[in-house]
Amino acid sequence: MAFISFIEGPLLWFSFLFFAAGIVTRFIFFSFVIIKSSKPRNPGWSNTLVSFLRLFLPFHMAVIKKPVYAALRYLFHICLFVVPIWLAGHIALWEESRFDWTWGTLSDEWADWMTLLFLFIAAYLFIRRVILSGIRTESKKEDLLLIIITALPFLTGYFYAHGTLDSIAFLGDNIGTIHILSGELMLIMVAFLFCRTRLNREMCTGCAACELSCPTGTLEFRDEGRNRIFSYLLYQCISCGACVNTCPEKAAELRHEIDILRLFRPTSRETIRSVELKECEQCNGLYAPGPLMRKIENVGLKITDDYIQFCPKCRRSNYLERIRVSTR
Amino acid sequence: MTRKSVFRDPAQCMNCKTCIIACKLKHMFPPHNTTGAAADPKGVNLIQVYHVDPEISGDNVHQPFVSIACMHCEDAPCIKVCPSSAILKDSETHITLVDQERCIGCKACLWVCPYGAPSFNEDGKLVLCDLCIDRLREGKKTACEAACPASAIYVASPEEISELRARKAVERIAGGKME
Ligand code: SF4
Ligand code: SF4
Ligand code: SF4
Ligand code: SF4
Ligand code: SF4
Repeated sequence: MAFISFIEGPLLWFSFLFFAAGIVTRFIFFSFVIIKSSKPRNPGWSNTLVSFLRLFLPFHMAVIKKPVYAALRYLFHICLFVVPIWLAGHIALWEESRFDWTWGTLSDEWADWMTLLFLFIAAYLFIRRVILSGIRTESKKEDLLLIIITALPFLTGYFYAHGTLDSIAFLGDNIGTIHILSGELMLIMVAFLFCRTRLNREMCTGCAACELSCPTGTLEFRDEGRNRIFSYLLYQCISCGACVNTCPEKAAELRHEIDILRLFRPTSRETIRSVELKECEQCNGLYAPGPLMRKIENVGLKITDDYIQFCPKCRRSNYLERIRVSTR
Repeated sequence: MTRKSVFRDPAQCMNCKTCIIACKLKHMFPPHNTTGAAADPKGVNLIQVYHVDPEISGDNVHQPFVSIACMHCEDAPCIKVCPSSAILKDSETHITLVDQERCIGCKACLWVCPYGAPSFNEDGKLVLCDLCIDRLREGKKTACEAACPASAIYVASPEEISELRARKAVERIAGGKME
């Protein structure tokens, strides 16, 4: 079976090397972009570093907002790393390999339970995505694919170790190969897997509070023409979640995304959101983001109509005009 | 302390801008950045003084100047729109106060304030006139009221202010001092 030996030999090597090369390249690009970037408001390296480290601590705002979901996410990621690295079966392979490497192993019982937990959470996340179509409809398909690719090695690995599918002819014979292939697919995918910020189109009001809170200057906005344009530099983002914590509309979110082209464009900014600006009815100047103004109107202010259609400058001049009339 | 309101009298104000300086000194706002990308010749100002178009009738020229700062609206729209509840009313004096730790800099308060009063520091956080609440608590006048050479600013309870205004109106009509 030439195909199987190819999968178990050269392709496996290729996936590991590809994975390593991807990680190193990304680290180099990341360091380059982060060092190069400087922002006048930046409170310094310590702040950036603290924000970065906070990413690994499960005690931030996102946890308070959705504690169960956040806990499941942490468990999911712990299992994702621990099981493949410390699985006795995998370590046996490393021992056999030319490197002769070995390290402590996870007991089989633990590995089984963690795998099942992992698969359970993956199924939950998958169903959640399918049902809650409100969550980012734009990239739903890729999200589902991502969950499938991540869960597949665990699923096949579990079947492989327990011989669940041995009675089914093709699957029973080839489950080991399928397991390796799915693992390789996941390793290759990791090189293109990014964690990035998105501003939800339906909820974001364009207030730019996220831009203000971003410690690295990754998110930026500029008012150009009739629009406020938010741009984002993927490699500069440290996934600290400051934008997510700040956003009053829960519109900023950090999401995994497979992006092949972006890997090779470390310094190109992308436009991630454009919001139209509201025009002052007196001076026709553009002043505030439109969706924010609509939201403010919906708050139901009693005295809205006299002034809310005007920019702050015209509000002041209208007030002055009233005073002038009253002191006449 | 009772409720506090502020009245800035356009008929008395003479555009000397002393209140602006007094307020900046009182709150120790950092010196203005006048160079570089962040240059802002005005910096954080809680008070703005404007002059409105003069009224000319014959030989009489009437030129009002108006100083504008937060009016401490009773039913303040800025409090209603603030998404992070960073603006509060002092329960005793009804002064509008800002919790800068909570402010996220979304500027919704600026877009809704009828007077365009909200001002933002260089971290993008809201700074608002606090009617010098610390001075009021000590029984002193606010910095701007104490400094104003034309006595154009009064900070007092709404009842005291309306009494004062009524007194002035009577004086204007009667053309003399009231007992
Ligand atoms: S803070 Fe939220 S609502 Fe405001 S611009 Fe950013 S994503 Fe949009
Ligand atoms: S874009 Fe958001 S997650 Fe990325 S660095 Fe800025 S604040 Fe942190
Ligand atoms: S900031 Fe504006 S809206 Fe808020 S209390 Fe002061 S004057 Fe009123
Ligand atoms: S800028 Fe600050 S105080 Fe003003 S509405 Fe936004 S969060 Fe509230
Ligand atoms: S009362 Fe105090 S804070 Fe308010 S404008 Fe006057 S000096 Fe400034």
